[in-house]
Amino acid sequence: MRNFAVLTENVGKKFDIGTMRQKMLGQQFRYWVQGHQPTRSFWALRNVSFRVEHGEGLGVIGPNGSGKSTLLRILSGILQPNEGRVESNGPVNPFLALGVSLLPQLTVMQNLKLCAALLGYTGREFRRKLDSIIEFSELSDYLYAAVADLSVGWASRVAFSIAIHADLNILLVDETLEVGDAYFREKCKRFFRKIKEQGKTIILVSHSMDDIVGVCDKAVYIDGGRQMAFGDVPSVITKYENTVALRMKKTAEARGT
Amino acid sequence: MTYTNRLHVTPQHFWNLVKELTRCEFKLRDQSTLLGFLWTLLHPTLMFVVLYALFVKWMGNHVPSFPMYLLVGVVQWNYFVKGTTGGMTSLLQKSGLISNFIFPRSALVISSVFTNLLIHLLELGVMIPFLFAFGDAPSLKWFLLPGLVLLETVMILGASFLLARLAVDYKDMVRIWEIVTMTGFFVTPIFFPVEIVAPDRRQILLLNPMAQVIAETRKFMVYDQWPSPRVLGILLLFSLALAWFGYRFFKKGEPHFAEKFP
Repeated sequence: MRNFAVLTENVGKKFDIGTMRQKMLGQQFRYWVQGHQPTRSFWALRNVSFRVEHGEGLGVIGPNGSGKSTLLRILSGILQPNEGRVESNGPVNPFLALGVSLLPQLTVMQNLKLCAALLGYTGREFRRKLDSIIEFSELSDYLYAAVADLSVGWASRVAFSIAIHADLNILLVDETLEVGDAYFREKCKRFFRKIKEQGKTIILVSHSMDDIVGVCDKAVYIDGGRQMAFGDVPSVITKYENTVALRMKKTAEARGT
Repeated sequence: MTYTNRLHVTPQHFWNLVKELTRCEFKLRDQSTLLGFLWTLLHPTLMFVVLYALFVKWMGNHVPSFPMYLLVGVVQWNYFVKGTTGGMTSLLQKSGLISNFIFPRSALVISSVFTNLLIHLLELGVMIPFLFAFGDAPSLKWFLLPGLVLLETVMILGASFLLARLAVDYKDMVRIWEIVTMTGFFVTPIFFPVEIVAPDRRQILLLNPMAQVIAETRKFMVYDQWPSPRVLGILLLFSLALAWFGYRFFKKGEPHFAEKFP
């Protein structure tokens, strides 16, 4: 096995704006006749390059809308990059967003089963791990409640508990800790440190610098789709916080206070 | 470049995924309750009752065993429409899964077709006692029915793959297909015999593969005749070709499905 877990080189992702994601057939026909599509490109992510070793944690920080989730979607293979290179050694858990939308009308149990199947469990593997999944999620009293009836925090544990029990080398976690209560968060962080020791890799998107410091060895700071810094956690966080402070000051000055 | 996440998908994983998705789909449609199934049954039943009441006086004189003729047509056509429509919208309805998980998207289409197949089988289970009641004695030829159901399923699957990708790319595909199937209902000999159409136009109507599937099924379910091996052979080849082409078309679009959904 090569020694890096995830490697990206000048990764860029472009979205077309000025058109609907799903076009109308008639519209498409008009574009063919006109010979062009009236769209503009928007680079949601560009020139992102970093390298994470096995057993390391990478924190991804940056303001809202900076491209953090897009980056995770690319790493998991859900979106394809338009330029650059992504490589990973070992399967990447594709678990992403906060309150990831499963099928909220169905029960917790059915959602656990579906989620396991989506993450590549077979029926037997799922039954073997079920007890420890339920224990971790602390949802044992709500197994037959509809996910829609649970609180956001509880609901996000469904997919999360499954994902971290999947036998995957690289774990992507997108702001999921944010909705957990203090106890659950602490438990997750402890769990992350444990699996890191087993040589697994964690890529964590978070707005909580405490979480980043507690779990990660390296960090990458993204703003407006561009990589502003990559390196050890304290220096990247300092850079991010300085930018935030500068922005606050500018806003204050603009208001004339 | 394309980047592939090395999530392993063995046939067991894929099968487990299709099974779970089918189970969810079935539950979402309340099919696991009797009342839910009765609602599903209501659609073909009403269609049958209305068409029968309207046309028995007229078509009844041209078509021997008109009730059975009609019943077979309605149930099979209904399966085709439900199957293809469900398959077409399967990705749209589970867009949240597509934008958050990486898995072979074909599992969504296959599980949707499976769900409709299960419902169709239940419908057939209800239909067969009616055939007993209306028609002549059941014949051993009825054992050909599973083969015809399988043939129709392959055809539905192929069409679904094709339509599913088109529906992701083009928002109006769903409406276009609605119109196509609505037209299809009137130009397929479901409630009328093909003989009432002028002979030169008959050939055009019979180009419709569903017209052929229904005609062949009627031969052995209603009239105690053997279906034509030649027609069945052509239908089988057509269905397999459609499934193959549809799957290839679907797979080609697969890496970009997630981009179409928020």
